[in-house]
Amino acid sequence: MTKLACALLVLFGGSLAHAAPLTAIRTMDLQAAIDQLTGAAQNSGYQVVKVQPIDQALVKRGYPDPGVRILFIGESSTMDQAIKVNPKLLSVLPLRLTLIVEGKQTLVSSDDLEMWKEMFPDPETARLVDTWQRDLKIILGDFSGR
Amino acid sequence: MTIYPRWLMVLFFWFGLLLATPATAQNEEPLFSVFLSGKNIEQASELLIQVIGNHNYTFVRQQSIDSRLVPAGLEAKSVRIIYFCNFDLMSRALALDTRTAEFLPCRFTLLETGNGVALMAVNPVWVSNRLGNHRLHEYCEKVKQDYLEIMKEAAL
Repeated sequence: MTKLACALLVLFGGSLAHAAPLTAIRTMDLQAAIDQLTGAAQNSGYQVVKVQPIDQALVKRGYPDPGVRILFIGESSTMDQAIKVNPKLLSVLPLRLTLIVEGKQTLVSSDDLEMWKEMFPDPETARLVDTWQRDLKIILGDFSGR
Repeated sequence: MTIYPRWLMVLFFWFGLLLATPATAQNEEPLFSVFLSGKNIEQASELLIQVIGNHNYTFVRQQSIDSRLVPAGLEAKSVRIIYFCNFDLMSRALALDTRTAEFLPCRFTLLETGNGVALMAVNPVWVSNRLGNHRLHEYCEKVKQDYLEIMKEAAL
């Protein structure tokens, strides 16, 4: 029975880790986090395409502040790569990083690209998504000071 | 009859939930797409923005997919993104779970080909099923149905 429980725990833990998007957290306000993340993206050859101020857009219309902004990042070759490999991947470009304010900390989370690999498991698509995941991991690592 | 310890029963319960979640996600298409035959990307964008407004969403912006990544004027003409939003829905969904930002604001991707424009959108239910928050389902299902209606109307 104990062996069965251990097996379930391994499966359970493994699946959760598999599904999780990449995240990083730092004790800094939203603007400082955006500046830090912009620098981290540039260090990896990416440019910030747009900062989507969801928080400001909602507050301006009388809604509560969700403390959320989205940073769109990209590099010039990504579109051509996606069209060549799998045009459906255009739907995830430019890549996104979501910033969520949690007290004095800012959490940054990437979209969960793992699910795209599961849905389109052909080697070329998987390789391209792997590249983006690797880049996002480096950017988040840079942001969090790892 | 075998009596299992309580902790093992709890473990079985959570494992059952875990198995059920991907099954639900797999039942959802990841992407919706329609083809707007005989239209160029300008015509398709104009039409889409009009239909989005008909469905109580606010047009946010449109941009080439490589906007700000290549020099101005050299952006790709054949791939465009249209962002739009229903602020009330967005506020309520974010209040439930900030992770819904993963599929906000709403967007369509347009890809021009030789004989028309392919219109693509990520299914918000496919994404939200992975978040494991059942309270989001109502909102995501509403956005999904809106996407389908907008795409259907645009393709008429």
